[in-house]
Amino acid sequence: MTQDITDKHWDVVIIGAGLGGGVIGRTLAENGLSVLFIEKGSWGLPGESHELDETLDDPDARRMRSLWDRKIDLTVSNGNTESVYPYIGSGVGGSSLFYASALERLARHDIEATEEIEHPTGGWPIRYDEFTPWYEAAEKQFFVCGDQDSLSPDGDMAHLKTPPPLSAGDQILVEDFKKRDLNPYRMHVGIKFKSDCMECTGRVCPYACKMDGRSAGVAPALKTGRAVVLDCAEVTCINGEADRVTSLTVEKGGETITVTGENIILSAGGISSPALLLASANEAWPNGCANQSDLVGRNLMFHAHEFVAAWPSRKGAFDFPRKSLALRDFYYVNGQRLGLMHSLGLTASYGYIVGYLQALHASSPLKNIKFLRHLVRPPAMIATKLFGDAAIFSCLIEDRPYLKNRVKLNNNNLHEVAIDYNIHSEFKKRRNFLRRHVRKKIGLLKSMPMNAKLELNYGHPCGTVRFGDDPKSSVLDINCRAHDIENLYVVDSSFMPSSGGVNPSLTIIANALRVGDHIVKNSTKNRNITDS
Amino acid sequence: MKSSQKIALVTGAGGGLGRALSEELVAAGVRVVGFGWREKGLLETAEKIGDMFSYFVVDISDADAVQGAFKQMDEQNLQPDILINNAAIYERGDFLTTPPKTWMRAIDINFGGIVFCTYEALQRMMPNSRGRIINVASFADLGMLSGSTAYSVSKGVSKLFTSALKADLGDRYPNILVNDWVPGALNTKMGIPEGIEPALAAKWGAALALMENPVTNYSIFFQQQEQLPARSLKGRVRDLVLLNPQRAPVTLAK
Repeated sequence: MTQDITDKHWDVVIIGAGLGGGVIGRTLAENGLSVLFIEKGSWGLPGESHELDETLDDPDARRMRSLWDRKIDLTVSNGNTESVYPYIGSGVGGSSLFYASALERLARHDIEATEEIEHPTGGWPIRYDEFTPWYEAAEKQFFVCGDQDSLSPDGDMAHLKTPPPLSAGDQILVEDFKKRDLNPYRMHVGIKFKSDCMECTGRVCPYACKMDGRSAGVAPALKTGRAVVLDCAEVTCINGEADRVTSLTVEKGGETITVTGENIILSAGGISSPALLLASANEAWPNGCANQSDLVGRNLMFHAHEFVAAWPSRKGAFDFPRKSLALRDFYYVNGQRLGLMHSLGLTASYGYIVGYLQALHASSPLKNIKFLRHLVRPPAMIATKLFGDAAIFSCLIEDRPYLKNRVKLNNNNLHEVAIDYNIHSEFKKRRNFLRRHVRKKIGLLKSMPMNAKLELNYGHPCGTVRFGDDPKSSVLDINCRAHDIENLYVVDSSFMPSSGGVNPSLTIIANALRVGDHIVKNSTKNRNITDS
Repeated sequence: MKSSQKIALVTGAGGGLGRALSEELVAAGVRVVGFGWREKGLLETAEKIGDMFSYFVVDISDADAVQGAFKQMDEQNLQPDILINNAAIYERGDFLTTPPKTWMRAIDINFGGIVFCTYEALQRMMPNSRGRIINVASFADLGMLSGSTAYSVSKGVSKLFTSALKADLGDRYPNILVNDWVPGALNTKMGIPEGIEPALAAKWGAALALMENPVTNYSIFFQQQEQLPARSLKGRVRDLVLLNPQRAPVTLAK
C-alpha cells in the first residue's frame, strides 16, 4: 500500500486531514483530481465518542484518542514557560472532531475596513461580498441549521435548515433577552440532529450526525475513489528548490518515505503549519519554506473567551438542544471589536457551580487552606435551589495581530514547538469593557461571570501564514498560494490576517472551497494546454 | 438496518446459572445465543426454551474457535447487543500437587474466555457505539480459599480486566456499559446445596443485563445491589454538613 502511494505522482497531496484539508480534498477529488491525504493521527475507531482531554498526559493514550501527542512550550506575557499539550485534535477530522460545530459567518468589518470601522490589517485581499457565496456553499455542505440574525445584513439565508425547537429554559431566556432589547437568534450549527443525537459538543460524534472534517470532508472524498488517506504518518520536511516543492519527507511506522505531488496543500493547523514550514529550511530557503517575508509563524492570534451563567426569569429545563442561541449585540460596541455571544452547550447545575467556585478558590490567596474549598458547596446548592439551572454562554473577543505573538521552533526542531504570546493592555481593556457591558445588558442578578481573569481560547489559533496582496506583508497570495512557491497552498486557519469575533470553522470551510475551486480551474487550464 | 430485537450472548449456557439467565432473558423478549463446550447441556437448554435460543459448541479458551463462532453468528445476523461472560470451571486442587498445566486450565477458561468473547463482541458493538457486557464475578479473590487457588486467581484477574476495559474504552465508548456481577454461592452443580436458586439469581442478572444506566457503568453489583466504594464515617459526616450529596447505590428490580 505504501509502495502504491510513493510510486504515484499525485495531482494533489494534502498535509493534514482536518477541517480545511478534508474540505478541499473533497472538492478536488469530486472534480477529478487524484488526492492523497497525509494525516499524523489515525482514522479513529468506529463509534468512538470521547472528549478533548487536555490533562491526559500519556502520548500513546493521547494518540488512541485523536489528541495531539507532543507538548509545546507556551509563554504568555513573558511569564513562566509552561510545557503543555496544545488544545488541538490529531487524526482524520483534526480539531473539528471535537468542535461544537458552531458555524457562524464573520461580519463584513472582520474582512474589510468599512466607512465607520477600521480593520486591524487594513483588510483582507478579498472583499466580503466575494466571500459570501463561499459561505453559502459551506453552509450547504455542512447542513448548517439556525435562523437569520436580525442584526446581520447578509441577504437570503433560506438555505439554512430548521433546527429542533428550543428547550423550555431557552424559550424563557429568549423572552428575557428581547425584553432587554437584545437580539437572540438560533445559533448556526452543523449538526443533523439525527434521532440518536447527543449534541457532541467537545466530543467525537459516533454517528456522523455532527458535520466535521471527517464526515463532511475526508469520508465523501474517499467515496470518489480518487482519494487515499495515509494515516499515522507525519510529514517532517517539505523539500524543494527555489520556487517549487519537489517532494515531502514522511515518517510512517518508523520508516521514512518520500511522496510527490503536482500541488501541495498544507493544512496542519495554525500551530503545526508554520512549524512545518520553519522546519523545512534548506539551502534554497534558509529562512524556512515560503518564508521570504519572515512572517511565517508570526501574527498568531487566539480569541479570549468570557463565560457567563444566565438564569431565566422563571425556572426552565435546558435539556435539548443545548447549543441553541447566539447574539451579535456585543459583536461591535462603541467602536470596539468584541465578538459573538453563544450557548456553550453546558448547563450550570449544582456540580458545575461547585467546580467553578472551587476553581476560583484554587486561584485565590486562600488556596492553601484546603478545607475552604469544600465550603463552596452550600452557596452553590442555595443558588441552584433558588434559581434552578442556568445556561452558560461564551463570549468571544478577537485579539489583534502582533509580530511578536508567534509560533517558533527551538533548535530548528519540529518536535520543539514554542509559542510566545503577549496579552496587550488594549486587549484587556476591551475584555473588561465586554464584561461590564454584558452584565449591564443582561442584568446583574440573573447572570454571573464565570472567569476571573482574561482567558485565552487555545482552540482557535490563526494568522500564522497570512494571505495578502503584498509579498512583503503576507506569506500567501489571494488564492492562498505561497507568494514565493508556485505549487504550495495553505488552507487552515493560518491564512486569516485577522481573527474576527466568531469560531473560525465556517471561514476555514468557505476558504477551502474557494481555493479548491481555483486549483480545479487552473489544473483544467493546464491540461487543456497540454492536450492541444 | 438492525432490527429492534435485542440479542444476548450467554457463555456457559448448557446448565446452571447460564441456562437460567438464558430463560430469563428470553422471557424478557431477548433472543439468546448460548456458548458451551458440551452439546448435551446446550441441547437441553434449547429444548427447554424453544426458538428464541440457539447455540454454538465452542471451547472459549481457544481464541480461534471463539472468532469462528462469532463469524458464524455474523452469517446469521446475530451480532450481540449484550454479552454475559458466565462460563467458568471450578475444580479444587492443591497447588503443590496439581500439574501447572491443569492449574492454568481454569485461567484459560475462566479468564481467557472472557478476554476472547469480550474482544469479539466489542468489535460488533463499537460501530453502534453501544452495548452491554456483564462479567459474572465472585469474591473468591478476597478470601483466598485453600485448594481453589486457580479459580480464585481467575476471578480476581477478571475483575482487574473490567478495570482495564474502563481505562481503554470507558471514555471513548460511554454507552458500552460494563459491570461485574457477583450472584453469590448458588445451588448449582458448581455451587453448594444451600446456595441461592439459580432461577432467582438469574432474575437479578437479567435485570442488570437489560438496565441501561450509565451512572452505574463499571461498578460491581452483589446480587441485586450496586456496591459503591466504602466511605469513612468522617467522610460521611463531612458530606452531610457540607451538603455534598452522595449518589445512592442502585438496586435492581426483581
